[in-house]
Amino acid sequence: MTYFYTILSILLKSLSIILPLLISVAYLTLLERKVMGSMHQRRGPNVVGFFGTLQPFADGLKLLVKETILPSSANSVIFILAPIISFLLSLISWVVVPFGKNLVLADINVGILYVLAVSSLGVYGIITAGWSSNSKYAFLGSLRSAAQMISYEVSMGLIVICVILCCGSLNLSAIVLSQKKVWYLIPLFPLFVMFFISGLAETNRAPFDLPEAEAELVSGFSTEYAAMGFALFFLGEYANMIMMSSMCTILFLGGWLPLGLYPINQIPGVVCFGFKVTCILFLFIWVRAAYPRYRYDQLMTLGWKIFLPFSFAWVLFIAGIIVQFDLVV
Amino acid sequence: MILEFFLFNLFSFFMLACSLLVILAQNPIHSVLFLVLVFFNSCALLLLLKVEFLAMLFLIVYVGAIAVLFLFVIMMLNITEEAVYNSFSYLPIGFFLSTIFFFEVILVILKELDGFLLFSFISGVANNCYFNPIVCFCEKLIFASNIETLASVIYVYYFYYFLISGLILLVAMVGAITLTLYHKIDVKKQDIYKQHQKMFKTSIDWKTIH
Repeated sequence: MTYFYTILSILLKSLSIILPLLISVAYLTLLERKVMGSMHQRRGPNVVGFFGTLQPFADGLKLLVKETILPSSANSVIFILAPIISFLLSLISWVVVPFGKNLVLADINVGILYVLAVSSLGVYGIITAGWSSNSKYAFLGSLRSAAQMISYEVSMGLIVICVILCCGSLNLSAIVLSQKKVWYLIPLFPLFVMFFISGLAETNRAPFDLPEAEAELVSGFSTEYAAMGFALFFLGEYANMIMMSSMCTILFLGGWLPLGLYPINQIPGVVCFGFKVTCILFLFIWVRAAYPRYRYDQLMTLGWKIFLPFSFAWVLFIAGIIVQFDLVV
Repeated sequence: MILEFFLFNLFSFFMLACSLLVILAQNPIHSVLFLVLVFFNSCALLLLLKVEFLAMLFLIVYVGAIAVLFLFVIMMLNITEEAVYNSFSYLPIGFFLSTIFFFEVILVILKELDGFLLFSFISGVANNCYFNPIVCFCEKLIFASNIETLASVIYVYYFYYFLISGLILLVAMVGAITLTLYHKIDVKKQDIYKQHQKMFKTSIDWKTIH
């Protein structure tokens, strides 16, 4: 009987993360369309529901009732598994995210490594999707995407190491709590900018959205997918975006820690966390509206020849400072 | 404890099954994907042994980087179905080699851990201490996280080996770079710095043609 209750509580806890996550993904798409609309000086979706608030659900319903198409020459098992893997991986990294003080599903002490590991697994969903659909567009798109994700993971790992050096723990809650005096945004500002840009590349967002460059590759690795397969990729991609923003928030913006002085710092931590994540998400969308797409060799040059040496230098620099001033935590 | 024991056996079983499928699968891509599953199961085993840091590193390094590169290469090679040969002809040699390897591993275990691990496993007293005496020993002495324990071993007692392995990796990296490094002279490339430095005045000038 105790097993039953344990399993039930685990299920309920996971649901209480997954459900809000999916709703926020839905409204993120709406936010993107609205913000992009305003930046292009048009209205964006405003027909379905009040100010277009039901638009994402209409889109979801449309994708749900569409016909699922299996290409005849596709490797069908992997073809079906790929979007599922992609979606699953975008969900499981949320286990370790601290939304507030003690408000985390699994407070493991290698939390940040877990997040890195899961985000490095995200390549599999994409690469298997591209290969199994047996189409040149999808294959090229997936190869591009995988190469891009691997390249930027390296510098991202090094940036994370800098933050870990500063706080002396791999636990995400400990990282947030170590920013009580000052957010890492201020001492490590260049690293924040680099982390944000790497996050853009890691989630395949504009200006690094080469994997789905419409002009060249139709829509990249998801070319052959229709209906729910496509919807799962889409959900996974946007959940990854939110995940990346919350990693930015936890590592550099002090997670759930309050902002400002007396009247404002009474706001509960969860709301603060959400606000900061939304700010970063707005930046994601702003970048998409503002910048043209990179060329592929430029993307690789930026990743390997600029970010990698620079983040290496920062690791050495911060380690040097910590040793010199005896700041070992 | 019973649950952990059960899970340990389950993951070991899946690991063996997947590693068999790696060599039995017809399609090389399937083989690599099964290899990834093997890595996953070994990661789960490491988690059960409470060495979560190593488990995460295993995921990041082997699954996230090395297996992806495998997949990359095999996908690019575009192997057709006829190229798949019968792998059973190598079975005797493989069996021979694996037997040698197995006995070597057993010898090492018996020598290093004094038969501790093997016999306790048989007698059924299989808790984490018996699986991994080092972890247990450290837990008794001092409460240190996984990483601190590892660091105190690597950077204090074995730092020579650590430096040497770093040098070996450096040499390998230099080798790999020199293998791929060649300059083609006749290829036109855009130098981004030069491109940014271009001015209207220096790019275009008037020439009078007589």
